[in-house]
Amino acid sequence: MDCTDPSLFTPERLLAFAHGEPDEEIEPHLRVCPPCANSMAAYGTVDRVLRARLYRVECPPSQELGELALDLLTPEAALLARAHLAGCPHCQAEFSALRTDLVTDPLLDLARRPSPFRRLIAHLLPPLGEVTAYTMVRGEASDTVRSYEAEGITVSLTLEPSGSGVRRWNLLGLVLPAGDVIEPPTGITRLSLRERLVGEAPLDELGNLVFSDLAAGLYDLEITLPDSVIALEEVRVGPPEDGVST
Amino acid sequence: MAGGLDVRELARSCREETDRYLRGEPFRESFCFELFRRAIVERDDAAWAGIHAQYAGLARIWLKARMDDDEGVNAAFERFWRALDPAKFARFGSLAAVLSYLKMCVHTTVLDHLRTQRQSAMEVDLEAVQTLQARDSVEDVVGDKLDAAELWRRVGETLPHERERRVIYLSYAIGLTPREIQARHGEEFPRMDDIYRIKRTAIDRLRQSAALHDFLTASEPERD
Repeated sequence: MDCTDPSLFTPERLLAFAHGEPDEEIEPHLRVCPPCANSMAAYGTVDRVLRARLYRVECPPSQELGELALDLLTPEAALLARAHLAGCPHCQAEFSALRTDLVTDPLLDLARRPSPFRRLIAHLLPPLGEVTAYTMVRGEASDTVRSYEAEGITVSLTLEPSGSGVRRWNLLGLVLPAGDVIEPPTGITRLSLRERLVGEAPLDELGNLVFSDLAAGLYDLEITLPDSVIALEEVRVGPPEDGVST
Repeated sequence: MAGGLDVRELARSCREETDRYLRGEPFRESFCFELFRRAIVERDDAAWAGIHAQYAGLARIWLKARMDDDEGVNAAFERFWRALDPAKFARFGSLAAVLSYLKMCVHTTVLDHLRTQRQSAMEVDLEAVQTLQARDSVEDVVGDKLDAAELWRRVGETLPHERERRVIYLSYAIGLTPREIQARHGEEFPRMDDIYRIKRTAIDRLRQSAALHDFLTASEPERD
């Protein structure tokens, strides 16, 4: 059985919708056209299978990145690892974090018996006008950039829709260091929902964080930096009409 | 001098010298270094236990609470143990160099923990799709299949054009959306339409491939 009007939507457009691109026109059509709905679902499933199986398939083991950072790889292995690094943002972020972590003399870490991390509660800054970051699913709502601040460190968060027709979201963030510090911060971020850890992600080389495919809810975000933990409490994920607000 | 001591004396001297270091006094690193040498080069279990006792606390500091303390520290020490052999150890000229390697093992243990979490999230996502479609168990679809490297090899063989392989690599191995591909690789792929067209062609080719048929079609929904 074929689509009643194949001129309406190209396979590319079905694929785009299956991969989460908002498309207000296609959704009503999918409700009445099983062939197109099946095609879209098939694209979506293949997409998820390939994503689950191929993600970082060519990335070297983290240990190899560590040995590269310590200059312990053979010249041939180092060349291969660097060639991969040049095209892989994930390994670049990991390598950058490793180099930062390994730059200090480990004996100094012994001397610096750690003070417990300072825990800073970030506060939400007033919105800077109507800076629309992303239009939400089906144009029902829009989300502005939300900026938080703690001791000069700024965290900006935006939401974007995720998935095909499913009401889930990606949370994107950028952590900017305080004052005249130029280097992006390094650290680990943790996202929790009702005190249950949903995921962890390192800040990338530019200070970005991403949590994908989140259900709506009020989340707590913790950003562990080298000398402090920044807590963002009750970060709203989801459209305003779901009844949750920041 | 350190070479003549038994492991118990070495461990005690290492502890005392470390305390001197922490008090800011002159200290000798040779005892701690020798303890490491015996553990790694001579595979001496008692020396290994001495190292663990002396440095597990430091490993915990390096872990920065990014994963369970005991699990992280034990995994890092195991990694350190497995990765080093006498030849590699011979490249370390100081205690600082050995400790840097241990520190690297702690950090890469955390990285692998994060990689595994991310992978698990994708598996759960896939499982959710399967549940929604009331299909076979996810093990039938995902587990029984080719490992990732073998799948990637077959994908490479199935796609005849470099641009198709490149878009599939950027989409799935790197995890970029078409919009991100255009933003980051605009010189190669200046038009979104092209990226979608290439990706769609490649996916259709993969779905039609006999080598990948079982792998991909087992996951697709029933057709009307």
